[in-house]
Order: sequence, then C-alpha cells, then structure tokens
Amino acid sequence: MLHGYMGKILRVDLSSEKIWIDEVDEETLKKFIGGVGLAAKIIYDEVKPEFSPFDPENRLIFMTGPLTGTLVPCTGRYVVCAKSPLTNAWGEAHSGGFWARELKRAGYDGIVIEGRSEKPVYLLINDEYVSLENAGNLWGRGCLETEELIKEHLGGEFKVACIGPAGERLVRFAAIINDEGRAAGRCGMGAVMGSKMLKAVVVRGTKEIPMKDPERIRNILRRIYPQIMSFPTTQIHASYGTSGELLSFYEYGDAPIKNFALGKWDEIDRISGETYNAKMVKGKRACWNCPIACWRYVRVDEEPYAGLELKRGPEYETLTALGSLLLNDRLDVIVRANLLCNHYGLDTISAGVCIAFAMECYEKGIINEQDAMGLNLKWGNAEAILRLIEAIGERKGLGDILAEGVKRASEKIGMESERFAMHVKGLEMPMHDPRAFKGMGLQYAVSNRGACHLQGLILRVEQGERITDLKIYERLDRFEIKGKGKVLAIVQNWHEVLESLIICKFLGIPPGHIPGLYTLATGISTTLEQILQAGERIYNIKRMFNVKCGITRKNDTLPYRIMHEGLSEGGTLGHFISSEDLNVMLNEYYAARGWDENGVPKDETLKRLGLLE
Amino acid sequence: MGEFSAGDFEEELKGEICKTIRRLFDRGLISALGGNVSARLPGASEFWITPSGVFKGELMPNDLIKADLNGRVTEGFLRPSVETPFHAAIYRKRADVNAVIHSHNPIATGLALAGIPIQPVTVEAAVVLRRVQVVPWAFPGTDALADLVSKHIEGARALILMNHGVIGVGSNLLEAEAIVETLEEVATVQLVAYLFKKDLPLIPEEDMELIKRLYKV
Repeated sequence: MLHGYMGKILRVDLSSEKIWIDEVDEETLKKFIGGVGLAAKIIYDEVKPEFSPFDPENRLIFMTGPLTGTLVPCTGRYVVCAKSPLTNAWGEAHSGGFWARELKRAGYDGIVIEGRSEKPVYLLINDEYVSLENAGNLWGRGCLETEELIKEHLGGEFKVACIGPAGERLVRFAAIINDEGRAAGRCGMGAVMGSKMLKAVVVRGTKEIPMKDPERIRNILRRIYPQIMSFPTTQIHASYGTSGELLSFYEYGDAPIKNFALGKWDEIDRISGETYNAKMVKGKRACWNCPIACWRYVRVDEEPYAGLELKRGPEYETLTALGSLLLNDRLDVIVRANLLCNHYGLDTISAGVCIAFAMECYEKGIINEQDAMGLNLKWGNAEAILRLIEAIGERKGLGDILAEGVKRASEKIGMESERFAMHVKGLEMPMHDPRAFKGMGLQYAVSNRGACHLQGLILRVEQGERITDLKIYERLDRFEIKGKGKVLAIVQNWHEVLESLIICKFLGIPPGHIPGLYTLATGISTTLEQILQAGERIYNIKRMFNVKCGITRKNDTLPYRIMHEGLSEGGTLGHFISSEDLNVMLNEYYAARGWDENGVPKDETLKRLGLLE
Repeated sequence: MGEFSAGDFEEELKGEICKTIRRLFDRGLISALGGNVSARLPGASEFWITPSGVFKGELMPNDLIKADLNGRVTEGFLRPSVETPFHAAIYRKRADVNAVIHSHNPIATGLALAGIPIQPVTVEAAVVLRRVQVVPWAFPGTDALADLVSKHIEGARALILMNHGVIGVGSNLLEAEAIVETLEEVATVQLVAYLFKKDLPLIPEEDMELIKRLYKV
C-alpha cells in the first residue's frame, strides 16, 4: 500500500464528459516524486507540440505532492500545469491555502483535465462522487463571488478553485483563485481553464492521508522546530509577511520602480512592509499547517476606500507590481487593485507589468488618451490603474490589447515598444530586478516557465545564504557573472524537489531533513542524492517539453532594458547584463546541466536521468 | 552465555552517544541547536553521528545517522550533522580516534575570541589537554573547515574553532567527553583568574619540565 500518496489521479474529458481514474505506478513516483514532477511527466507524454494552449487537447493539471496536507509543516500547496498561453511552452502556477489538502482527502493526488465543454461547467468532487455541474449561473461572476455562491449552495466545507471573467475571456495571464484570494497566478493557467469552459473545481474530502510512520515524523518535527523557526526569512515573513523584505530589496536596487527604469524613489517608505503592517493589516492568517502565517488580512480605514477588506492582502510581489512599478505610492489603491485582480482572476504581477508598459507607451507618446479609452496614463494615476485592470478583465479597448500579455501587446503596438516590454519568453517579469542579482538574470533567462523568480531563488545565495547540504559553501557576489551557472542548476533542481513534494519554499528546512521525512511519510526509501537527481530529471523533462515547443538558446534571453540600460542611481548603479555577460553565464549553465551549446539536453544527460531509453 | 553480534555493540554505541550528548547538554557545553557527537566501533570504516537541527536535549538512538569515512550517509533518516565532513576527516586521519565531540564551550571559545591561549594553569591543563591550538575561522559545515581541522588535529586531543566552539577526540566517548569538559574547566579557571589578575602564576617550571618537553606546551 502506498503512503503519502492517495494512489489515484482523476481524469476528466470535458468534451465527452467522461470521468475515470488512473493509477500511477511506484516506479514513476520514485522518478518524478509527485506535484510538478508528475504533472511534467504527464504533459510531456500527452501534450503534442502542435497543440495550441487553447486547444481542447491541451491538458490542465492540478497536482498535489506526497507531503501535501500532512503533518509536515507548510504543505498546503498545489500546482497547476498546462501549456502556457503566454509562452506557448511549459506553464506552471502554484497556490497555497486549503484546497490542496481537501483534494487529497477526497482520495486523489491530482486531476488531469482535457477537452472542452460545450457549456460552462464546474467539476464537483465529493469523495468518490465526481460530476460535472452546470455553471451557467456562475459564468461571468468574479472569483470571490463564485466561491461564495458555491459554498452557499453546497456548504462551507467545500473548497473552491475557480476562474473569474478574465479566465473566461482568455486573458492570457488569467489566474486561478482558491480559498478567498489565494492565486495560482502565473502563466495564464486561468485562461486555459476558461478555454475549457471550466469555471471551478470544487472539492470536499473526508479521508485520512495515510502516512508510513506518523508518530516518528511528529516526534522529529517537534524537535526541529527551533531550527526551522530560526531561519532568517522565516522570522521576517512571520513578523511582516513577504512585504517585510521590500525595503531591503529596494536597498539592493532589486525592487523595480517605474517599469524597471528608475533606481531611486522617495516614496518607497509609503508602501513598505512596516508602513503596510502599521496602517492596514488587521490580522495574520496561515495556510494548512503553517507555523509562519505570512498572509495578511487587511482593511482600509481611510476614504475613499474606507471599509475595503481583503482576506488575503497584497504581499511583496503585488505591493511592488501595483505600487513602485507604477509609481503608485497609495496603499489603499494597491489594495483596491489587488481586489479587482482577485475579482477578475488576474495575475497581479503580469497585470502590473502590462499597466507599466502602457504608462511608458503613454509617456513616450506612442499611445495617447484616445488610445487609452480617455484615460490619463501618467505614472501613479490611481484611476488609470484601476480602470485599466477592469478593461483588461473585460477585454475592452486598450485592455483587450494588454490582455494578450506584454509581449504580444508590444508586438501589436510596435514603435520599438518591445524595448521596454518586460518579459522573458512571454511571461512578465516578477518584481526582482536581475541587474541587482545577476544570477537572477540567468534564472529568468533559462527558467522553463519564462521570467520566474521562484525556480531556484538564487538571489538568496547572492544575499549570502550557504546551503551546505547542496555543497553551496560560498556566497556569490551579486554582480559577478562567473560561478552562477553551476549554482543555479543545483538550486533549480532542489526547487523541483520542493515543488514536487510539495513543501512551501518559505519553510526554512535544510535539504538534508527532506529525504528522511519523505521516506517516513511514503515508505519509499530515498537519499538526498537520489531525490536531487529526481529534481534534475524533472527540470530536464520540462526543458525537453520546451525543446519540443521550439525553445532553445535563442529564447534564453532577457528584456532589452536589462541588457542595455544601467540605472543612474540606486543599488544597481550602472549595472546591466550585456549579451556577452549572458553568454558567459549560459555557457557555464549549459555545461553544468549537460546540455549542448544550443541549450538542448544531450543524449548522455537524458540517459543518465532515465529520460531516454 | 548468549552470543553478541556487531549489531548489539552498535546499538550500545548509539545509546552511549545519546547519553553523552545529554550530559553535555545538561552541563551547558552543547546547546539546543549547537554541537554534535560521533563515535565508531574501534577500527570501523563507518561512524554514527548525531542529526543536525534536532533539539539536542532529547536525542534518541534511532535519530542517529551512519556515515562512511567520506562523509556519505549509509544509514538513517535524519539530516546528518552539518559537521559530518570534519568528523569524517578526523577518523580518516586518526586511526586511534573512535569518538569526536564538537561542543560549544562558551568560556573556551570566548577566551580564543579574546586572543587568550589556553595555558598550563592546572596539571590537567597540561597533561590532559596538552597544547590546544585555535583553528582559524571557516564557515561551519564546509569542506574548508574540514580541511583546516584535519590539518590541526594531528597530535591534538582538543582544538578550539574560532568563532564557533571546540573539538575533543578520544579512543572512546568517555575520553572525548573528558577532554571537552576539562577544556572548559581550565578555561573557566583562567577566566576567573583573569578577572582579578592579568599575569597568571603558571605551574612551576621544574614540575612541568617533562610535560613541556613531551607535549611542547
């Protein structure tokens, strides 16, 4: 009998309305762990490169991991994977909360959805009872309202992951929202869901998640808490949420300002974690079994938005994407914009980057008020920010162009606007300027889903974190080019492990503890070397999917601004990543990965990883 | 009379490791998160070591990890001590050593920070500890620290790690424990003396001649 895993993958074909169960053999689980690893294996096997992201044949996969929902802390997360409508290549998005645990308690490790329904439906999972339900009355409604209506109808114990109007209208950066505002935001997974006419996945489960040796795990965890809670970022996240790092990132020149064009902004204190927590945070919340509790419950006390509440308030990425990136220093406007994004089901990062792009077009005279639906798109204009989010969510006017994502919008608008369209492979840049941490530049350039700040988090090593279990003993100078490739490959492999188990990256648990916890949870014996190799295998199978989709070295690049423009002040003063610098990093990285000079995994690498028969 | 297998001795050894670390914890020489203990059966090519990051006051035999002399884990579930590389390095270098204790002796470590060497203020200081060298700073858990320890451990029973703690070695656990405890005792005596007087009276030259010549104290 399997432990940790529930042993079942729910399969749903929306075209034929057929529902069935697949079982995954132990050998595959050993090789791909679960979570993003198992999803990558399924997508690699089943999604042909010629399928477009909105074809019914594209798969939309919700996956949990063997540790999801267990007594191991910070295991409330799930991953959604599909071919991305932003990149036409590998797409993945992650979210926390309670939905993932509920799915496992219903008896499933994951759900693979294919086909397209003729009419709006939602997938109802109530333990063994699985059905497609009419979502006609939900279509067109916002995410938070949809969740409320479903709970009113079925009961509060059901957990809901759903899309809003943006996903329905195929906004390419539409998110999937669960648990009252948690977002699987990146890569447009909500748009893939909308293309399938699937409004929500609603789950309730009553089963126990089997563990091989729960008493032993409990006993060990009790005694490693002092170490886990001593991890530096854990204390910051527990005290302030991720916003607690905003000022520190600003000092590095890492927090982007005015579409990555400024290095200094006098108003930064107005949106800092300290100000945010003092002014409007009213409480703290945690995902399933999380001792850190980084969510913030917020309420605005001042007009014009007095009384406005968000159960899942903005965190670092949102504060920056809808704040400093737009020269918006009003926290109340950020909260209002975040609420709108949650309503429409939009990724706040991509939304912020698209709006910043529009504002820069406006500033440069590439578009005018008429193009912008009569809006004055000057930097920091609150009304313009809020109206543009609505226009994107409803695909109206300029919003319809921005809804295609910043890459396609810049291609449509032209006039050299691609020079300040901040994306990699089509995915909008997150809120860490790679000129501040050049390893992050390499990470953005090569990450399988495009500009990704989470797949590797090499900036932590550039900030001075040693990961002795992974043989990362030395701090990497943040502006140095050499040495980044090898270390990035290691931390990326490790993050594939975390995203497959699935454990939140905010848990400061050293890698050396993980194989033991996995073994005691699943009964599948593993070592750190073995599980790291599984991470490497997962990273490579995603790359191979991307190679099938046409991704090679030419796509492993960075926005023009990052490669040509240094900032005249601030923490990155004058630094940029030239194409020569990037090539040095890419060469080292490809060599460390066992890829050829074009960025394609060599046969010997694939054979070593068991990916080539 | 029943027969014993190697496994019985290993279980006994694991129990002794846990008792040792508990005694050191109770004495304040190993803290909740700092310090580690390892031991091997005489001449064995593998050793048992305490886990990393697990509260040191409540370790149990099944928490321990077995590693080979290259520091590779061969048995056990938990994360091995981050200092496994220097434990392995000591066993590789010193066939006579079967137990290694890395404790966080506050006073011995503090004296080293102040630049004050351990001196022959008692007979134990000279006889038991011999010459106690200070190993320069290297980041904990790194191969660089293991290399430095390996260089300094030749002919030593005790070392002080700058900004870190101390190491005591022995032919068995009790000997290694006696070393780190004696080191702290001597350091404490020196500290107390230094509080009142800077120029300490050492043991008379004639009483120390043999020891000095042999141990180069």
